[in-house]
Amino acid sequence: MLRVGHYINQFFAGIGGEQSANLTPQGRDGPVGPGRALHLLLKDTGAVVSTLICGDSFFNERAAEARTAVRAWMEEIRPDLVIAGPAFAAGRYGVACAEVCRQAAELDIAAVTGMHPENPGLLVHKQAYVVPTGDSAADLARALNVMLPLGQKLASRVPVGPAAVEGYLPRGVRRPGARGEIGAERAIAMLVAKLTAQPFQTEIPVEKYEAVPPAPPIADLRHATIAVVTTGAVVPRGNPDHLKRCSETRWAQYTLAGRDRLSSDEFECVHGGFFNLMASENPNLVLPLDVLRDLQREGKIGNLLDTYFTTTGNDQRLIDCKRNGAEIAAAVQSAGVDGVLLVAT
Amino acid sequence: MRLELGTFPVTRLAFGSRTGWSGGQLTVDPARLARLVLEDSRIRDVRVDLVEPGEDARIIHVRDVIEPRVKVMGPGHAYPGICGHPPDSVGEGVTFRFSGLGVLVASEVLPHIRRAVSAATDSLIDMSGPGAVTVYSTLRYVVLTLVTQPDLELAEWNDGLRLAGHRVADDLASSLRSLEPPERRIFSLAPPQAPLPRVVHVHTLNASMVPDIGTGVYGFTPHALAMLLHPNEILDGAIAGDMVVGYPGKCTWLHVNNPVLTALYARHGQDIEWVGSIIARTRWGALREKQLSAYQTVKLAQMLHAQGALVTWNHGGNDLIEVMLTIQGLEKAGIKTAFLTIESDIKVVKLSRELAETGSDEPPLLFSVPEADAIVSTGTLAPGEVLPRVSRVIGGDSLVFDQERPDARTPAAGVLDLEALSGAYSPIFGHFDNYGLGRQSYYDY
Repeated sequence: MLRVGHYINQFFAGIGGEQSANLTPQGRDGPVGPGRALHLLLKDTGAVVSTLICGDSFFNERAAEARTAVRAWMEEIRPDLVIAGPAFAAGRYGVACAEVCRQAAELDIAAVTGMHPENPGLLVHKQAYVVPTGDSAADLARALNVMLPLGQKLASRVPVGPAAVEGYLPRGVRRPGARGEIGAERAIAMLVAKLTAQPFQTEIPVEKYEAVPPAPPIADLRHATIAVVTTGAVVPRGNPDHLKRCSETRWAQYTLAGRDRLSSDEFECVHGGFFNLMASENPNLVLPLDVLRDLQREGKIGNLLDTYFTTTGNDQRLIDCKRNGAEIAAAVQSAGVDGVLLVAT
Repeated sequence: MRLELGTFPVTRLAFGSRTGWSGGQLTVDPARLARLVLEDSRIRDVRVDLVEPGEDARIIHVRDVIEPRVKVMGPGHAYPGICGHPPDSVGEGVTFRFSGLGVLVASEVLPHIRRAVSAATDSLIDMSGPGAVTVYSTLRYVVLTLVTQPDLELAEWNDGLRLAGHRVADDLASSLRSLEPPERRIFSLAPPQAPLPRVVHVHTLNASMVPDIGTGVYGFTPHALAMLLHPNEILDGAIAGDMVVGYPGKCTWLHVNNPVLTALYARHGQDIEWVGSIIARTRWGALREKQLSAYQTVKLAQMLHAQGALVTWNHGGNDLIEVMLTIQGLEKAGIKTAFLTIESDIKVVKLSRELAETGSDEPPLLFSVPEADAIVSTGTLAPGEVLPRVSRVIGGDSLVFDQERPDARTPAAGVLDLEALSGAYSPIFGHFDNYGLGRQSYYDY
């Protein structure tokens, strides 16, 4: 017997619309609203044992309390499967459903929700299993018919197939697998489909870039301490730490103390992603110590940190990029630096 | 342009005193090949080995693989513009070839070249076991293990090794001249009976930032703006790799066996009209150059009245910027694109689930444009296990996995845990399937 917990909002519980959106989280025994259809679909394989209802405004405005209530409900009910929504195109409801799925994942409980592919809830918890739906409850029966088998599969811990096969939206996870034809034939077949207005599905969905919010500007550069960081792999001649020319996983720090510029007797560039001869002959092209010292002398910058930080920004795994970035940032911060000149290559 | 390819499949290799092909067996006279190679004073020593698929064998220090081809009718020379072959335009007449055979040049990178060119990496081919993941584990090889003069400069080293390989390939292919090929096939871009969508192959090729080396077109390696090739020129060897760069997409064997050309020819006259292959070089130094190259490529496609473009690339890293700018420009010009690519930013050396699985933390492409909405992924060819001990090693005896630690050598016959030894770059020759020879891909989960 599969024990199913169902999360719905105040509207689908039949309590009310926007005027009831502040409804506090409350559990009910058995199915409510769309849960009845879910209950029927389960036939004799399981039951909707409990329904958690919460107002959309409450969930979004008092998120911490809502999360606690969701968690307490799951811990009490111990469902084998949580079904959230479906939320269709309702944004706040979608956010709540995604959050319910996240809480379930943290408790190792299988969970499925459903929403329209443009629902902002998709951004909340990318790993959630979300079945795409239409923009309104007119699509409820069809959506539940996809959500429940997927949930049953997840609850039984059977490996779940690719998104396109199982009918959920891509979760930002890609795994290797073979296809029916060789790559070259698939490529020309996809082009022919596109040229003749037949349906086709890309094998690599192009993702939007993550936006990095810039740090606030430095109020007064004349009193600021500046550090230099470069992905250009400028190292002391001889490359004492064996920094790799590509696919490096580490970063390194070296001293600039007592130097007015970088000489090619003492430094070299070991970056393998560009023809680095010029940079090795004049390392200031990548790490502009000569110009920074001028600015320091002219009083345009306050101080220059005696240590610089470098890695090889060439074919580095993103996971290493992120760790290197965080570690360099921590080192710079603990050195009391106000600003960083980041020289990319 | 009409090219007839006569194919002689090789199913057995044997040493003998007379070089020749008969009923699938290729007999090779090692003394004759050695004499030929040693005519060049840049080569100090050569060893000739025969290697078959399924053998408990590992070939190391692989520099390039050449499929022997010979022109028996029509202008020019197979693999034009290199090794003293004239630059006459090829692609017309009759060419004979061996299938399933490669002349493999193996030679350890000279220390000063290893220091100067980071891409001159050590590579290996396992002929059986979990490491036999690429097409190169399925070919039969005449392996030339070459020792060069130690002080050769980069261009001379490349040229010396390449001349040795092509001399041997030419010699083997020449033995076919008077024979009747078991298979014959005609390649031409005859106009279709009824109008079909016009498709261009945008064949982008990395050009090396290091002078004198890299993938050449009629032997020409520098960065240059787009040009148009008839696919038959490519079948006659107009695109050839060097002996330096270990990157998979530059192999000479691969360019004459490019499955994209086969797939386009299969569709030509059926549901598309293939109007040719635009060669556009990649890895320009400046953004303006990347833009110019992309825009001129698009303009050439427009002047060919292309309605669709199949876009390929043969490298990695920042080359993807000009490739994506080209896709964007083509789409904006109303030319529909499909892009065939490796998952360029997945650095999988051993296929553990943790490393193979990517998420939003590791996007599959280093750079992309929203117009690139039709992409085919050739996934990864990383083996699932460590490479086991082998009983036979050809090409040398030890490997360097870290170019910055040339003295740290690993015995080649032993167990090789590539993830531990090599980090994020696989030494398996051909570990990226740039042109979609296989069915491996990635799925969204």
